[in-house]
Amino acid sequence: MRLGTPDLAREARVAGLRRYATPSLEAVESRRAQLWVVAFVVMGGLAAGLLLLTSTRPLGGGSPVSASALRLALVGLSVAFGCYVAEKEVHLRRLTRMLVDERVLAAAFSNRLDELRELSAKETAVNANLQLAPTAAVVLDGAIELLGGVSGAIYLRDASDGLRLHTARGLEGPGSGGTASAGGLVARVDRTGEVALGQSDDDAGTDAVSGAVVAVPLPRDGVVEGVLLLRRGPDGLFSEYDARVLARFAEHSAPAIAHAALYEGERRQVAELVERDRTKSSYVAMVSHEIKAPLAAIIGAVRTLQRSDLPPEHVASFLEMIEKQGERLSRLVEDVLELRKAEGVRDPEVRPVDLAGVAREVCQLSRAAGRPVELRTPSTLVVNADAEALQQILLNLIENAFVHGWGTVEVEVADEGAAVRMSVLDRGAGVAPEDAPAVFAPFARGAQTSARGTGLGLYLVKILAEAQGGTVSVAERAGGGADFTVRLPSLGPVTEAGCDGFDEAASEGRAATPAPATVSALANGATS
Amino acid sequence: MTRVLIVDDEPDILLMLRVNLEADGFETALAADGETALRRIEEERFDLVLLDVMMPVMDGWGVLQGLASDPAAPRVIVVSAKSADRDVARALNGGAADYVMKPFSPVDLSDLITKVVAYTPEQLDAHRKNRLAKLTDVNA
Repeated sequence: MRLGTPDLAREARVAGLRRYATPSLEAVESRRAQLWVVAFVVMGGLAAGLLLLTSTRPLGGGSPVSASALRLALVGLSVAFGCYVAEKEVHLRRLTRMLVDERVLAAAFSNRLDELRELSAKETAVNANLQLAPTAAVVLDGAIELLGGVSGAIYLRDASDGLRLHTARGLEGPGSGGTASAGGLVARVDRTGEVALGQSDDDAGTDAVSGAVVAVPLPRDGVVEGVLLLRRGPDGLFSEYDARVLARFAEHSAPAIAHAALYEGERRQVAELVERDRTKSSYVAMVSHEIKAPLAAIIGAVRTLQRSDLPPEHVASFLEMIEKQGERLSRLVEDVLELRKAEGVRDPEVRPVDLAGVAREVCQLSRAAGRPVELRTPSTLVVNADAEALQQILLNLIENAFVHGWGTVEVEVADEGAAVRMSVLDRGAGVAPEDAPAVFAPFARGAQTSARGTGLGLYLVKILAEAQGGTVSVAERAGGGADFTVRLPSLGPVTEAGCDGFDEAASEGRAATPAPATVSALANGATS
Repeated sequence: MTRVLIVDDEPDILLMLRVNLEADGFETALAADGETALRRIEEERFDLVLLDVMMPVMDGWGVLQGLASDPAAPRVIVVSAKSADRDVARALNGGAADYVMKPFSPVDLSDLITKVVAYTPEQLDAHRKNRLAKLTDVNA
């Protein structure tokens, strides 16, 4: 705009618009109208003069010399005036052109200003949010509004380092599922870190200068942390200028998204800690309640025995009560300690163990204690586990089966390919499917409370199984009763030589995992 | 003779309370869960109910709720291992006359029963208010 000013002023001066440094288009037009009116009047006068001279010649009979000279002078005057008008017209035209250019320029600048204002308003909105989902939504909506897209999407880098769809607008069909991974244009932006224009999402993108889809990086410290993608209908294409505007917007929005993601991660962690603290408090409350119940009976019994008016026939039963409740208390303390130990284990000591052997041992122990157990197992079945934990799991499940069921308890050990299964089956009341998750909670004893159970046995089974990367579940057994099943990750067939067998397993084409990988996977499973 | 209904899911506690209360001259009846307790209260006349909270089928809170709408209901003393002020406040606000924490002394309990049964309604209200005022941390 500044460049044009001296030229404009000069042209204006030449065109006779002296009062203006930069005349308005209207002033120029009126000046031109003025010029042409004057030109018509003068030219008309001159033409009339010439006509008069021609027609009066025979009448006047004056000097022919003076008449022709006058005619000549008039023609010369006409030519000179015509030149003057033409020159002015040229200048006026140039002035008009310059003024029109100027207006266009001013309009463009004003558009740009509006755009910047809108951009900064959007950025303010983006930064006003701390949560990831609303922030991403604001960014996406802002971008769509800014460039007039019909739909759009934001892809963000997930834990596995791939770009995944995070937020979508106006998107239909596959891809709106929220887990669709990125391809085509988005992958190209991820690879190059540059703006990409294409005809569709799947368009891997050439160096197109316009397209129905535009994708720009959401950079953070020079790394593409996400991709913002916009689509227009078939009638409107994005220009390179649009892509630049979007890239600038994305660049300014990316930190807000990154901060929101960070904040959300922190918040999740805090919530997790609060939840863990709450669980711990409620656990302590439950344990103290469970300790108080037998204590109340013991103290009550002792106080009763101290009464002088106690009928003598009650003495034996109260002594027995004290003994029984004392034992219950001691079992509870043992279970609580066992539990603490199991929960404290972050890295269980797993090594190849013969599950079939452990099961045989436990069943023998159980039979020796007067609890008949039927065992079905292959001769050997090696798993990566902690032998002591396996023993505890089986003991607790068998104990549970005897407390809540009746008849012979059956133990089954089997190789399921992907997992190794051990099931303890009883013929009791069973567990209704809706109660299944609850039975593994601490102190979740069945309706028929038994003084014998501590309410921690199944919870301990769950903790121990999960610490070794396994799972525990309960199902209704066909024909009535409960089927408690623990599954541990399979190792594949291994010879008794232990670790030497892994190569052999691999050569047999079985999906055998090398020992170190399995161990670390188990360790991860235990800490998560 | 004062009739007391003892409600607890622990057989040893039922036995221990029955022996003590009968030695102290009360007449007793037993219930092992909330539903049985409500049924017995409906069918028979009791002067007082000793009520445990954590029970199968229906817990003590359910029993208190069931009795709240009955003006002729017997007075209730909650006897529980739950020791949070929150629980005490819940019981007293739910209509219980008092709250005894396990473990407890059977002799003291007998004295408390005698006192609660003898109270006039006004005295009982005052007793309950007094008990509530002693709670330090009530964020029920």
